[in-house]
Formats: sequence, structure tokens, C-alpha cells
Amino acid sequence: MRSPLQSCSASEGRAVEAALSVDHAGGRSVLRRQNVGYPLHVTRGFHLDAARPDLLTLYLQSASGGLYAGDRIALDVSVARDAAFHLTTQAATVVHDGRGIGALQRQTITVDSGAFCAITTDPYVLFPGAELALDTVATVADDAVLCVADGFAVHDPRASGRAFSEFSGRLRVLRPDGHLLLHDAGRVSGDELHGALGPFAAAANLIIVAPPDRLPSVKSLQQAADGCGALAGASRAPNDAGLVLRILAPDGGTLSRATDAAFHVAAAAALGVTLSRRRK
Amino acid sequence: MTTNDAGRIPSAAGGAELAALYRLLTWLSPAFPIGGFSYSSGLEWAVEAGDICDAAALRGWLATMLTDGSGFCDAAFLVHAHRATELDDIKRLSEVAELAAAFVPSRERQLETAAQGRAFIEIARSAWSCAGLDEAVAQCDVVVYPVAVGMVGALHGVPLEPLLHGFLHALVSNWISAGSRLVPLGQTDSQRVLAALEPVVVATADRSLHASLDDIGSATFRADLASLRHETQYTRLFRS
Repeated sequence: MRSPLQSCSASEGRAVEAALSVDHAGGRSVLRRQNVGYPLHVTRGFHLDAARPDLLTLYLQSASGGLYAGDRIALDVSVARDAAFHLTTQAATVVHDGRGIGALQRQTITVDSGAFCAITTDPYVLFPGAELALDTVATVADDAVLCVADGFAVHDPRASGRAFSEFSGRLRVLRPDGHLLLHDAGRVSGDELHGALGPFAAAANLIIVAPPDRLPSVKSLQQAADGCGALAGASRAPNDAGLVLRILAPDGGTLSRATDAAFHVAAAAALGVTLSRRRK
Repeated sequence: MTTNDAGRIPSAAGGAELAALYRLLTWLSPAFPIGGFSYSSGLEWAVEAGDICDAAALRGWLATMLTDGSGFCDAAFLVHAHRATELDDIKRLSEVAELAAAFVPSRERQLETAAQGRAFIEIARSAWSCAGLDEAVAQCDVVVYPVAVGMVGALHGVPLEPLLHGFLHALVSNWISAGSRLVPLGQTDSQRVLAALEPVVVATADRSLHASLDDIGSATFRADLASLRHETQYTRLFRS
């Protein structure tokens, strides 16, 4: 048996497989199954919205100070028929130097018929040398709603002048029969970022998969993000999958506020009520 | 000259190059009716936002779109479509067409490239018929503009390099035409921008000739946002 120190060694990283299953029971969405190990931690469930008391909110935290070289994190989220679930983070996640092997975070999401699932992650803060790959596969029923938000900001706490190594993200959304609705992929290296982002240092995506009558207007999404000091643009996704919002911001804080504001617009359109602010 | 029955360029000495030139000049002329004049690729929003206010800013914006944006991507897709068609590799052509259709950052850019591709194919069918065109098109769900040019060029036997350079010249000229109407710029300034971008076009063409499908990608966040924001721009002259 390895010691905790060995299992946490920077050269090997940590392999974690976590799973959350949410059911609709007794008029509320409840956590039916939870399998979350170190370094991840989830809070107890909250029902924060008086207008939607059935909606379950969980905060996912890192108990170890962020993501390190070699980390392999897998998260499986399943939201059953008619359940409503919001998984978010309490703060930004620091991504440390990848030391040539980087960190990988995989998510598998299943959203059943009539269900609502939102996974909104505060920005990943890329330290010098950081290398992070996000890979998400979501299976969404025709009448279900999925909101996924993630992004990154750059920080060099010691002003070393070193850029992060690489950030990549991939999201595939499928119907239960396997039909591919959309595939969003991006990769940028730290050396290339300044030229690509211009005066901005943070970027995020909000992907909303929903039936047309449960989508917000493109303009309302943009205005919500712009109102926080970001620059955002939205467009309809292919195959009538929903909407895609791209956000640029000068820093991680602005990005986080802009993403959150846009998420609230999306949630209001999908659920018919305005959700309360998620305290962090 | 006229096309022969199969549409391919006659191989008689001297005739082939001239025929290729004739077709290139026709297909990539602003007068070729694919509606290019009605699209700005997001330039209209960039001008309204103040990102592009003069010839120097337009030159810088377009150089980035060529090097790191849709210019490079479209050029590389043309190259792969041309090669797959030349080899009669229909499966490969279908893959290239599918990837090219997915490689647009916004709905309006999708409209821009899909509508022009469709128009290009329709005119090719009507006026520049050639053997194999219907079969090739039938294998693709959507034929976006660079794939249409690469496919038709190959079926007519037009060599890849001049086709590629002609395509990029037409693309840049169309962007400058939009920019000159929006900023606005005079004719002379527009020509200065076109002249200044010649080395960028040459470098982009050279890079796209050697790019694999995995090498294709763009990193023009603000230009992509411009095409997204154009969808809700209040006053618009252009469709993208």
C-alpha cells in the first residue's frame, strides 16, 4: 500500500474517479449516489431557490490547492428524469506547473428527459508552466437542458515572465441515440496567448443545450456578460442544439462574474424563474 | 475558348495553362455570382466597435485573419479538397467537407461560407460543367466555399498552387472591398492594403500547402467575437 505522500507525488499525479447521481424524489432533486474522493470534495446539497425549491445545488471543491502535474480527474454526473441540478465551484481552481505531463479533467454528463443540469466552473487559473486538458462528453435528452461553463485566466504570482504551457478544452454533446449534436474544441499555448487575446487575459465558454422555447435571446446573454465588463458574443449552435456564448475578460474575476451573469440569464429562460445568487 | 465535353482543360501544348488562367480569373472574379459582396466576415462589427478605423488597422486585422484565422483554415481546406478530388478519394473528400463545415465560429460565418459554396457549385454545374462534379457533391452533406473551389478546380484540372493563390487573393480582396465601404477607405488606400498583404498571402498559402488536417485551427478570438456580435448589430449593410 502506498503512503499518501507517495500517491500525491508530483511526478505521478493523482487519479480520481468521482460520480454524482441526482434523482427527482418527493418533489425535490436529491443526491442519490455520491462517490467523491481526495482531492475532490462536495458540500452538502443546498436548495437555494425559493422559486424552484426542487433544484439541488452542490459546490465542488478541491481540497488540495488545485490541479497538479499528472492529475487525472474523472467526474461522472448523472441527472435523472425531471431532476434539476446545479454543480458549481466555490472559487477558481489553480493549475500548477504541468512539468511536461500536465493535468487532465474528464467529465461525463448524462441528462435524462425533462431534467435540468448546470455545471458552471469558476475559471481555471493557469500558473506558469500549467498544462490542462478538459474533456467533456454530455448525453442530453431532446427535452432536457444542459448548461456547461468553463474558462481560464492567467496568473504569474511571482512575475517570473513564464507563460502557462497549454490549455485545451473539448466538449461533445450527443443525443441518447448517439447522434452528435455539437463538438467544440480549442487549444492554446501560453506563448501564443498574448497575440490571440490582445488586451484580454481570460476567456470562457457557456454552452447551453435546450429546446428552442427554453433558450434566452442571444442579445440578453451578451448584455449580461457585457454588463460585468467582459466582451461576449453568442450564436446558435449547429443542429439546433442551443446556444454558444464566448466571453473575453481582462481578468479572472471579471470573467467569473460575466459567466455567472450569463448563466443566470440562461437558467431563467430554461426554468422560467430567476435563480438566486450562488454565494461563494 | 470553350470547355470540352468533359470540362477538363485541353492538354494541347500551351493551351492548358491559358485555359486554367481563364477559368481561375472567371471563378475568382468579384463578378462571379456567388454574392461575396454581401459578406464582411465580422468586419462590419469591428468597424463599428472602433477596432478598424483606418487602412493600417484594416491591414493588421486582415493579416491576423489570414495568418491565424479563417484565411489559413479555408486555404488548407481548399488544398485538401483539391488533393482528395484529384485522387478520386471520395471518402476523404467527404471528411474534408464535413470538417470544413464545422470549422466556422458563428452562424453568420456558416451562412457566408455555405451559401457561397452552394452558389459556386450551382454555377459550375450550369456554366462550367465537368465530369465527376455531381458524384463528388453527392458525397458531401454541405460544400462550403473553399471546398467547392478546391473540388471544382481539381475536376477541371486547374493546378493547386495558382488556384490557392487566386483563392486567397479573392478572399482578401473581398474583405478589403467590405472594409473600404465601411471605414470608408479610398481606392488608393485599398490598393495599398492589398499590396501590403501580398507577403502574408504568400506565406499563408505556403503554410497551408504543408498543413495536415490536424494542423488546421484558428486563434482569432476577437475576430470570432466580431462575427458573433454582428448577429445582433443594430444597423447592418452586410449579411455577416
